[in-house]
Amino acid sequence: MDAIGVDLVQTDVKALGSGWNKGLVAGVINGRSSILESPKDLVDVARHLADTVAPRNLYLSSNCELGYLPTVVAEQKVQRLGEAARKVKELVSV
Amino acid sequence: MKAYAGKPLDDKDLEEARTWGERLQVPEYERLLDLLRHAPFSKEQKAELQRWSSLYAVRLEESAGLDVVYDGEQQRTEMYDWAVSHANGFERRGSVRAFDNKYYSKAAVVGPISLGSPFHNAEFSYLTSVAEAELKIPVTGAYTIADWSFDERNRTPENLLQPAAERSRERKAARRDFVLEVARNLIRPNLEALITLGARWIQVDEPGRQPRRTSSISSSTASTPASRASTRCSRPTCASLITTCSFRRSSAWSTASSSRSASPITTAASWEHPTRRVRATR
Repeated sequence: MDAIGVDLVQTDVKALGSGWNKGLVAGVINGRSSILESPKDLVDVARHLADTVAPRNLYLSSNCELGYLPTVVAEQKVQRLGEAARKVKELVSV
Repeated sequence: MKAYAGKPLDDKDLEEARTWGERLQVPEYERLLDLLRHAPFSKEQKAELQRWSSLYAVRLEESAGLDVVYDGEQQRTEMYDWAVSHANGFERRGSVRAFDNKYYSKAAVVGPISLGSPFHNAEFSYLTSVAEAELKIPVTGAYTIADWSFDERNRTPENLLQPAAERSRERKAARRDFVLEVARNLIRPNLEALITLGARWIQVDEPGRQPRRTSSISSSTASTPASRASTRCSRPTCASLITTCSFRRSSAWSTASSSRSASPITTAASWEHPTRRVRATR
């Protein structure tokens, strides 16, 4: 197993501990809510996870499938996830 | 269904309508056959088809010997959509998955909730005019309306760095407010309108309720004169418990058996409670 997925809408980030020797698939997009996440907030969460949990690899994802959202909302959430991922990559490459 | 959906009907369909009309002794069912031969149907003719559908369903239950009957929501779009369509404060958000490959049109609450117009009155009035047995009107409950809707009154997304327990408490508080507002401002005035029209049996359906301890189910039904609890899987992640609470608007509910029958227990299924009679209806 290379990575473990965690629903961060339901899970306390403090419960993840630190110093992981595996990857973390962080469910940061809420697939049960129509409220759009802010890319800035997603970046903040990613940075926090990278600094504290320090997984071998960090993947940003949704906390469940997006079929429970209207298509237009799901598309917007995916766009914001991509935007956050790009910013995080920029930060990492600096 | 085929006629209402605009699908072509063949002789087999007409024969089925005739056979059931005859078998159930539906009054003047020949008029339905005549109507079915005149597709395509206008809006008014489709409404007439819905009323025929209600009549057939009621007659089916009456002919089976049930004392308390209903038409199976023949005139509603579906249990969620019908309620939300008659409410203020909601906006459509589009089709979402309910379970497996089943989808429904989900709405979001965006403002104060209120009743647009009573949404079971016309149905009840029609059924009253055709039913010989006592009527029971199912209504979708507040918990289900809230559970099947998005809540967009507070558009701030959760801060995932905040403790999960704190976020959970906030979600539950918001859900509670949502449910109570639906109950007070949408469901209650709609039920009052039904009661004013003379409805005596009202069944509140809550398929959106999540399974909990058995004791909580018992407590939710203990104060109702008649109740039914059944289970079926209706959600993708877990089997959901459908708790249905029926109540009669009568203080003398213990004499609730139909005057049309000499038997005190007259429905298709029934059982005895030590202190009171619980009757099962469809």
